[in-house]
Amino acid sequence: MLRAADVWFGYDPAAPVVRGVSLDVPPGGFLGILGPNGSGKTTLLRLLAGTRRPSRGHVTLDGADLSRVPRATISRRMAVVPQETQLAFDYTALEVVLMGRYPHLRAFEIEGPGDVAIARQSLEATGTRDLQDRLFSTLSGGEKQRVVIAAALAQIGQPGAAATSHAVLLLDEPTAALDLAYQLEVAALLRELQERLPIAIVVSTHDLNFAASLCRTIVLLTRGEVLASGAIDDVITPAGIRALYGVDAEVERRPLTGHLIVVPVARTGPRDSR
Amino acid sequence: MNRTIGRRVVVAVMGFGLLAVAALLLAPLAGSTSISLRRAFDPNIPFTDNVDAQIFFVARLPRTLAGALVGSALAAAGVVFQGLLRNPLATPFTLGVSAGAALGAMLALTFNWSFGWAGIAGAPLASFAGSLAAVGIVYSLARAKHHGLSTNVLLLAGVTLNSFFSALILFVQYFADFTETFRILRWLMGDLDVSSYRPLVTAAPLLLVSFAVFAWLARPLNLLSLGPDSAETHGLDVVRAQRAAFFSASLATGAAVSVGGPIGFIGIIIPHLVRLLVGSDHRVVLPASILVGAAFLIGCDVVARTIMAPLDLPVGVITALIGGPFFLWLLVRKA
Amino acid sequence: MTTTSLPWHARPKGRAYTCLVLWLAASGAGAAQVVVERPTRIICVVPAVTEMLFAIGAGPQVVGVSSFERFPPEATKLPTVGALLDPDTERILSLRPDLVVVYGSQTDLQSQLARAGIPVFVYSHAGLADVTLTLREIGARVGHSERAGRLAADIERRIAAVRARTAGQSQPRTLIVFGREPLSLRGIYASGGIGFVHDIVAAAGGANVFEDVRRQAVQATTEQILSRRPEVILELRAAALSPEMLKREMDVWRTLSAVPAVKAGRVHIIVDPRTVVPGPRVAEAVELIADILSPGR
Repeated sequence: MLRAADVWFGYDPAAPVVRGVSLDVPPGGFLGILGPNGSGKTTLLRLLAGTRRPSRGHVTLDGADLSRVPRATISRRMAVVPQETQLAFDYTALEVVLMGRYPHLRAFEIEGPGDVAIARQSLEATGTRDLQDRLFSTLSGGEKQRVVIAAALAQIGQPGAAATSHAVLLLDEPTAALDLAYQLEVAALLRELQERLPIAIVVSTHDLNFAASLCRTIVLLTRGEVLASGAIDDVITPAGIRALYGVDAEVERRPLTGHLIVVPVARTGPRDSR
Repeated sequence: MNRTIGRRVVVAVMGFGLLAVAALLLAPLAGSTSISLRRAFDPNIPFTDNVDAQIFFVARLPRTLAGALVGSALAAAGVVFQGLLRNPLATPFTLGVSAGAALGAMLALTFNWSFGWAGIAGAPLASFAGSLAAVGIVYSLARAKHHGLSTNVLLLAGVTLNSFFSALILFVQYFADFTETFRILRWLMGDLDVSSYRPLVTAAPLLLVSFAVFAWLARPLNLLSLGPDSAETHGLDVVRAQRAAFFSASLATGAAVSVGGPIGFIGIIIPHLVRLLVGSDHRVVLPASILVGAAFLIGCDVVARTIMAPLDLPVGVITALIGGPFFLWLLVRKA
Repeated sequence: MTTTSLPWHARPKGRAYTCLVLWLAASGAGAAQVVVERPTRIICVVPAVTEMLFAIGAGPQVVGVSSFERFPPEATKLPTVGALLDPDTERILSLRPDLVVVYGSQTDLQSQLARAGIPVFVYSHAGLADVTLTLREIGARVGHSERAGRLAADIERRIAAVRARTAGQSQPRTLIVFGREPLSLRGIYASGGIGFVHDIVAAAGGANVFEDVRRQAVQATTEQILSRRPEVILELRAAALSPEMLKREMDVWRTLSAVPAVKAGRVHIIVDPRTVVPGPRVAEAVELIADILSPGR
């Protein structure tokens, strides 16, 4: 559904940050883009969201080249949850979520009861309904992240329809700024959303275990290039980890949760130098 | 604030609209002289003989309308610049527009440029031209080659332009003689005594255009406060919105400054005050700021011309005396 | 007390007196100041006083003038040394003056000259009466007291004559404008009840509408002008205007048509340095203005 075909991109054309990446997100898929800092994950996510145009290659949504689709149309099907959200002014949580409905409004149109209902449902879905009248800046890190996810859900929700089919949720390092408890919160939320709603989710992260516990397919990214991609069991192996991080690790499946878990043991050789 | 946005806008406009209308109606009744309203409105006395009528219709009414125009323009421009630069401390003068206007007026006043056009005298014209020049310079500096309008470069360019133009202003002042220097300083403090409807009639269409663009900008400004990347993923054409915000707010500021001089503090007090009362949604903040800004400046002008009669204080002094402490209070409150 | 053996400056009382005199001399005059009876190298930073010097015959003694010097023509040919805000101390010193006429507010220049041992004549301008007072003082200072005295008496006589003439007549309410923005009524800067311009108009038989404001200058708003109803408006300007510009500038006043001066067409734009320089030609200024205020008496 969302597909990148051999995309290249650099903020400075002489130094490409994403080199020849191809990936595929099927409807209802859960893709993890895994890589160390500086591997080009955020840029790749921007390319997938259509906010940057690849210098070579295409990004397509249902076969349509994103660079040709109007931004408003894209934003009705795809929402991005950034790593950190800092508001310039004091909005309430509900106002932030309602901003997710803006792509669905015409010029000068205001949110109708349907939009407000979707906003409330999204807050409900992320367990933040009782925070709706609180000022966003007064929320904790985890609460903020969940409200922003709610806003993204509201953005890709359709009025009146329970299902949000063929929509994509992109999250950029959703747990990077959070401590352990909030990380688990967000992970649980994403898992639940994945089960309940038929949306596709793409997560970029450097956190191995987070990716391992959630995603069905993985792309290993290093220095802008795809090192390996495929089903999670095939990619997250000691060999793959050694190649990606230069670290010896043990990979096992926890009986309690059924997730893969990676335990780093020791550094091997020098990491891929940047 | 569970009420829907539509209702909030209506309530704000009606409430603050009442305030603005009251200011407009009451201000011309106040002044350093007492006049007889009955005489002023007496149709039997020819206008050229009716001192009371002239005080009301030539001295006070244009002044009140100028206050409404300049106050609403600067307040709304303040809101838009704050949204564009994502900084609650931004003012309509941050990006150098008023420095350009001041330089233009300064040149006209110092070298006594006596040209007029469509009934507008040299100083306001030169002031407007100066503000356009400043806007042009700042914009061309800030236009990044690849992705859009960099607000950081915009800010740097504006601050640099402010310093540079201030230096030029000092340089020009050096060549002025006494009376000119005094007049220039007075102009810098703001003066709403237009004594004619012409400058208002000329500035009004410019403001209407700006306000129309502001109306369109309300939702984009909400999105811009999420950050330019997030705004983009919400479907906003960020570059187009930034450009529209920059030019419309600069136009409003340039028009306001050419009517009344660079009156400070309105562009920063009113947006903050309004946000305290109605929240941050620009769809409410913008119309509310326009109305509150008008009422506020009209009020300050009444104070300026009555508090130390027969001396007429510059209105910029009154806005500063009120604005300064208010701003300190805001900062203390936030800390 | 015995007074024989010790010289006077060694005796206790004498020592005290000596110290007192020395201290007075030092604080008053700085380093050994030589006071010349008839200075021959005078530098005058004040244009009004330069006019006075030339009027009393001290012209040949002047070697340096202000950069704003305009009258008499001989004075404009002399070297210039700056003005009120920017006096060029180096230039002044390089001309080797033996008397420098300075403004009262030029305290830095005064202390520099004191350190160099150059005598100064401090000028401060206030009202019309100070013109003849200064004339007499500078006359005495440069050795032309008799001529200065005669000129001062003549000025006083002429002004008194005008006063007498206009005393019996009605004194028209007068608005005195120093300046405003070109082609508009913004930033009108009028004379208050203090200052020699106000005094000139008062002597010429005019009643300043802003007499109650005890300041030299007032920012006049249109409301104030309308409510004070001047019968004559005098605009004093420094630079001449072309006839076309003159007409346009006069037309600007028509928005205030209820002002008696505008209705009666008694708006006068005066470009005459005699009205703005408190020099020896003030009597002429008073007569000129008296003629405007009560024509054909």
